[in-house]
Amino acid sequence: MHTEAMERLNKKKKNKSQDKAVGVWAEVAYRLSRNRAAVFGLVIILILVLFALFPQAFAGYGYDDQDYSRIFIAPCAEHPMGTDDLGRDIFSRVVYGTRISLSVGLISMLCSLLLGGLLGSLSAVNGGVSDNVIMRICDVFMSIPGTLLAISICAALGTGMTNLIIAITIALVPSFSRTVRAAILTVKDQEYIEAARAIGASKARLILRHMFPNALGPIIVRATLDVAGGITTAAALSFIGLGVAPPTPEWGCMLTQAKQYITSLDKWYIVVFPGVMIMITVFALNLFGDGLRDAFDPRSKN
Amino acid sequence: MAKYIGKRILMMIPVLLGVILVVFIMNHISPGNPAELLAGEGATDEAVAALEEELGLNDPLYVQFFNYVKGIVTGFDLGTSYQTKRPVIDELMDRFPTTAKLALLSIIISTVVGITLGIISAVKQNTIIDHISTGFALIGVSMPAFWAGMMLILLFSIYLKWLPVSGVDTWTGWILPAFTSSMVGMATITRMTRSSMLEVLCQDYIVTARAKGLSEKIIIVKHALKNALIPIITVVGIQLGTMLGGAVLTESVFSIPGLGKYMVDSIKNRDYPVVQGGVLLLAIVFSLVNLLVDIIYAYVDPRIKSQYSRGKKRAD
Repeated sequence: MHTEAMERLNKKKKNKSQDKAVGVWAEVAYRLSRNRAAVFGLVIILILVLFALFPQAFAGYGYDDQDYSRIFIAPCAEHPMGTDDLGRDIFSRVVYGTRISLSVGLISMLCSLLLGGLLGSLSAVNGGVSDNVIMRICDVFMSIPGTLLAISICAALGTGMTNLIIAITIALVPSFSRTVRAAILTVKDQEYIEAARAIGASKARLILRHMFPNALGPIIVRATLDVAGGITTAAALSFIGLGVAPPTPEWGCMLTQAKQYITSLDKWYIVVFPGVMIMITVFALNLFGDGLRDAFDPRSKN
Repeated sequence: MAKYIGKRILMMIPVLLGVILVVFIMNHISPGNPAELLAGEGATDEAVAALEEELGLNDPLYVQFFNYVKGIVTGFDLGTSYQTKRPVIDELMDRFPTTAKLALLSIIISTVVGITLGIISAVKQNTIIDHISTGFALIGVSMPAFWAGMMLILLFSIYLKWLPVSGVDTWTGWILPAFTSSMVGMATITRMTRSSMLEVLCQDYIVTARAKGLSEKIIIVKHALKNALIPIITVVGIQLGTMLGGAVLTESVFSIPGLGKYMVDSIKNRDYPVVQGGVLLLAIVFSLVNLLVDIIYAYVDPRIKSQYSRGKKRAD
């Protein structure tokens, strides 16, 4: 009897929560689709994802195909962005670079989502001492400016993509934990959480099944903007010689090598295009992130 | 008020100890044996061992950390540069004024321009002026500062030949670096001011002020801006931190002989004590700036003042 009733109740609840979830998401998707800037951002992001997934389809050359008879060719039909000091096709390198930048940004965001989500929700749900300890540790990391923290970590660990991702993740986690904590605190005392607790839901279930989905809006927005932040930081670190090393076609790394040609105006394309790619990527992510914020919280759009 | 400031200073101590711990750990896991690197290439094993003993590298870690903190607190001892064998703090302080000047210039530019643009786009919401300035702000936050600097060099120094490519020997040399490192801050402050002002402008007391027949100028400056200021001050404080971090990049693009360029050169020379010392110094400066911001809060926000003037803190 007892279990049957519980099961029915559970089923009912599940249906209900699913109905509601679909409703909210559909509404967010609708609002997002009405926002031209956000859709524009999304389209650019999708194109960049295609670049990252199938660089061979877009790039005419390999990213490290050197040809000393064809150095410093200005943009033309065959080389839309010209060639660099080693005769490599800049457009092909930039396309391959999409894979590196997007994956560094995405992986560090996912890692900080995992870590920050865990710390933030522990902090919000437990409160008291653990909240205090976690937040004070976040304070410490946040009082070191992000770029400097990443520089410090990268300098200690050495160059390479893994270390770059570790450094960016550590730089992102503290503020992410705060976002998650704040988001969960706003839903924590709602009646439906109390109801779930009253029927004996475990802490993990409370957090994962009830609090997280309802607090998801600000967390998703934050995550989107953090991908952008991660990409900029990665480019900056590679630019100053930490992070990814040549001949990897990372955009920041390409700019380091290009920097020595900045005084010759006829070689402008070497300096311009890798940076344009960073800007387009970050711009698209920011547009989409802003759009998401407005879609999740229509009140925030004035 | 004094109580609030005192409390805020006390709260800073554990945070700074934490920052020192982070930098200490980074120093510790940096590759290479400091004694070997300091003694130089031709040093005998005995000399290295003696130096290890002298530097306290054989002590347990917590003793090393204790001595590190003691060194910093009593004499700003951040270790010795592997390259020049001079104390790191001397090397850093030689270059700090340049970086501070750049950061200060940039924060002034970005605050003045950012707040002005933000107010204009909030007041002229949804007009063409608003769209242009929010568009610029969005592009500004999307551009990596070091690349923007390179673009400015290409345009103003190489193509138009108006400004020097690098160095800050003349005042014209400061223009591009200051503008470069203020760009992200300018964009962020514009966005923050706009949204904060928009929020305030639809409050009842603004309607009241309009109904009273006050001039639009007084409403915006005295009634709206004053109340919109708190989130803006927060962003300005955070931006100064970003600028100190960004200085590392801006200085290396423009070859400005400041702290940042020195740190980048030290990364290339594997002079780790300098890199970590620079991070620590800038983090401490950033913490002090944040302390200042919190004190400014107390003056701007009457809510904080009233909390403390009643002799006890409210429960929230």
